[in-house]
Amino acid sequence: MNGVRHGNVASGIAGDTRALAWALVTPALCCVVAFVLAPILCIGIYSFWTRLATGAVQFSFTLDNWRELFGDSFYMLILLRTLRLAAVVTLVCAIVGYGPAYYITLVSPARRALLVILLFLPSWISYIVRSMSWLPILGKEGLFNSLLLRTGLITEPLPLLYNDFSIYVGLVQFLLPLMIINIYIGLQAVDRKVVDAARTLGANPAQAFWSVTFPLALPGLAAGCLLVFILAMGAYITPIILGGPGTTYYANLVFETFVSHQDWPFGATLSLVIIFFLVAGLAGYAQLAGLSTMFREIRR
Amino acid sequence: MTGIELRHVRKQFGATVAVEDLNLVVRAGEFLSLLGPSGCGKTTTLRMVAGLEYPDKGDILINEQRINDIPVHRRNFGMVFQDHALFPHKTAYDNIAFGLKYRQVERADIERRVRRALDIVRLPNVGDRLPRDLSGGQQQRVALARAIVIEPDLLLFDEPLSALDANLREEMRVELKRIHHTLAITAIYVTHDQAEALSMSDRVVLMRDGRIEQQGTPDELYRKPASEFSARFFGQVNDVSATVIAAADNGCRVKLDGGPEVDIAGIRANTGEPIKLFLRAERAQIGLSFPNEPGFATFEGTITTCDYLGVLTRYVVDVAGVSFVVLQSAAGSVLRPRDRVTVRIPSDAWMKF
Amino acid sequence: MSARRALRSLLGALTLITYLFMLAPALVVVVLAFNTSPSSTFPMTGLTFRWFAELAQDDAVLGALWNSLVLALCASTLSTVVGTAAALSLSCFRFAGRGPMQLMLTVPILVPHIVLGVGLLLAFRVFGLAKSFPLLVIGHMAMTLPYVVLTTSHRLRAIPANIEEAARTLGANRIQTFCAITLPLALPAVLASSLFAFMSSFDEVTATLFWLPANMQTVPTQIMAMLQFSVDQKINALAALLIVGSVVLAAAALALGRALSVDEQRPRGKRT
Repeated sequence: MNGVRHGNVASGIAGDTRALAWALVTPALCCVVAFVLAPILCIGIYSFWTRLATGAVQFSFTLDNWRELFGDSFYMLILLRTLRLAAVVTLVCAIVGYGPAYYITLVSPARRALLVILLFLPSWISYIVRSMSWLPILGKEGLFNSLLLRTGLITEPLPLLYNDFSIYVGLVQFLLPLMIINIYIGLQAVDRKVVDAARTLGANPAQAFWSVTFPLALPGLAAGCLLVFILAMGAYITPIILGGPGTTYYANLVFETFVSHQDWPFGATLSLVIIFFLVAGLAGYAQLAGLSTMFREIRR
Repeated sequence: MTGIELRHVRKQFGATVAVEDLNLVVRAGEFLSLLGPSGCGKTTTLRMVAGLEYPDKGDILINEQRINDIPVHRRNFGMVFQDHALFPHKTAYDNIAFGLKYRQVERADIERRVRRALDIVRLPNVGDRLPRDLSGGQQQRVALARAIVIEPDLLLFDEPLSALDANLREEMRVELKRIHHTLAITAIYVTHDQAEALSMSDRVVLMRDGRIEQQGTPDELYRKPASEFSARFFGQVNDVSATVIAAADNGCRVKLDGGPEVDIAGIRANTGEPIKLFLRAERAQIGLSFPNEPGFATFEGTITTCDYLGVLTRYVVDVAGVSFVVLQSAAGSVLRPRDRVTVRIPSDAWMKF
Repeated sequence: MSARRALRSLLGALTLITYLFMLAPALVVVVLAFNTSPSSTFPMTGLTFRWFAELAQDDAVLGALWNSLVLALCASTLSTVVGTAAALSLSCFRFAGRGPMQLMLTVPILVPHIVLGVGLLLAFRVFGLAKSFPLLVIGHMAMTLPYVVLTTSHRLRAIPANIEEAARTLGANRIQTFCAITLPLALPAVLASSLFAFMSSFDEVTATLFWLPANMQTVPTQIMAMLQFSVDQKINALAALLIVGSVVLAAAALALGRALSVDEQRPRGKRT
């Protein structure tokens, strides 16, 4: 990428280019600092503040919120349930998504373009609409059950909706395109000639894949897993729409704590846990492939 | 017509010095090549002339006027880039007309000048096409038309043919020379291809590590290289260690290490001095026998390898433990490895640096 | 060889099923929106436009639609202007700190919306600001900004530097070069990313729930509210409209992206 452009700043003819560069980037920088980074800092600060019995927040340092989080098995249970959800969804997406991502690299350019476009299509469609589209499919009188009943495979409708099953299905559907995109970007970065070289050196196709393609494409898979895990952990809408009694997940807890209980310091503490996982994931990724490879572009 | 002069020019990128204390005069109407391996500073030099880079030190002058601080767009130099750099969203016509729009040329005049430029590059019928609908050679011709239509004071070429395939390159070489001749314009041509530089230029400047290694006409560079680097840049060179056994005013007699004794013309050295001699592979000849003539040295040897290169054949001949590489026309060749042959070397073919 | 072909067909079949899984449910919703039965169940009983007509009578939905349109328009316009400026800076100039800055401007893509929602809400609170429509716009702008920066800077970097240099050697100054060369080549990407920003803002729900002023609904939060009661056919009709609108916008963005392509250009070679 660096080979494509080299800066125009080289000439002393326009010595003010540095000022121009900064002037152009500063508004965006301010936005991110003021509306994303500073707020995250606020979360950090709030989690050490005290909530009085009246519901008001007092600006005095306390570890009570953290004691409550780690001391109460209810919160730990939900955290663990959510981590399990995120882990399973990530695993399923990676396993299910790798095949299609690899397939895209095999087909003709025209078909490849179509498949890539279709991958991006879901991200244009509302999350909430995509989640609720499972309702008429998985419901008691939904598409699946009516089909199965008609074929006589079952006599009673299966309980497919408003439980963990539908949440897992909804989340995998939501996050799978992101996983495939990232794996595909990783695969795209692998030089085809290196794989061919491995083949001429005596590796069979499977050996060439496992010893060359897979390790070289790993950053893409890792980026996909990081993205899917974090987004699954923070998913609020899916459990609300597709879940039922007793299917509370972490993001729902955060929302309830803020909106229903108005307990801002504790809500901040809960949110900070998500940020912790995000930062840990990013650090892991940076170790593996360097952060600069995180947002690579799809080549046409 | 305009000439251009560079005085003590220096340019550094980060920790790398790209050009160091460069002094160069390009005469009006001359076709001058900057030749050298990649990283030698030739493109940086060209970009400084164009105004795309600003020299850290030194001056660039036109008619004794310093132009360092004249921005690119006011210099009126046409430039042809390596990968044509046509504007992908403009037709060939609009690409060529682009420069005229910033020169207050009247509309009718623009039309006339673009048509003429397209005629000069022999592409009269592609005006309405987009660059992506043109072949590689056509793209480069349009790029050339775009550069000459502004009637530049100086024409700059940055390896314009390196992205083309071999046959097209040959054809474009001839074209470029014809157009340069037609326009009678000063041109600076950057290339790493010695054949390109030798065949097209009035003068060649060979660069190495940001400095000028040697400059002169193509013939001078080939015949009288000033350094081992210069010699090796234009083809294959043998190097032989030797000891001077007798010295004279117009030459000397040396004993090649481990090999025979030879007379050498034009090289002065002191008796007993160890020297290193160089010999172009194409100046030596081999054959089954040669008549004894003055001004030639002949020795017996054995062919160890022979590589058929098309027009030429490359032989490696072992002469009493010294290997010589000999390039010779392949016509009628019947020589094979292990053949006993005679090597004949003109006594003025030896070089010493 | 035939084993490889079989494997490839198998992968193809798997890909087809996966794509169906990702895309078909939306299609079901669109089809179902025309069903005559008042509950969204199978099998279909007949075709009708009734639910769309009812939707057009629903003041709550129309109000939410208006709010969402204004919100998305404001947020995407702002993020397009701010984001394009940043992308220009990051791809056209080389200056110290450019790499980290690029990262900083794109990394918010990874932050879950629930965290963004909580964070900005707390920040408002710290500065004593009440929830309001302008703050909602600000939040949405910050959320869509990284996408604009990312897409536009990728596109700008695909424009070889020597095209702009050529323009300058031909007599165009920096500003003229920008207007005649850089801008026309980057514009499709800018427009496409602003369409995406518009759609993301229009569809955003998680963070919006935190920021929404009282007595105000956007389309997604309105759907949330309607879902609390029952899954009636009006929701399906609304969802169908959203899906169709999204696909149309996506197609428009795609067409824009292809309109002026610089992909035929070889990236510039090494400088010597």
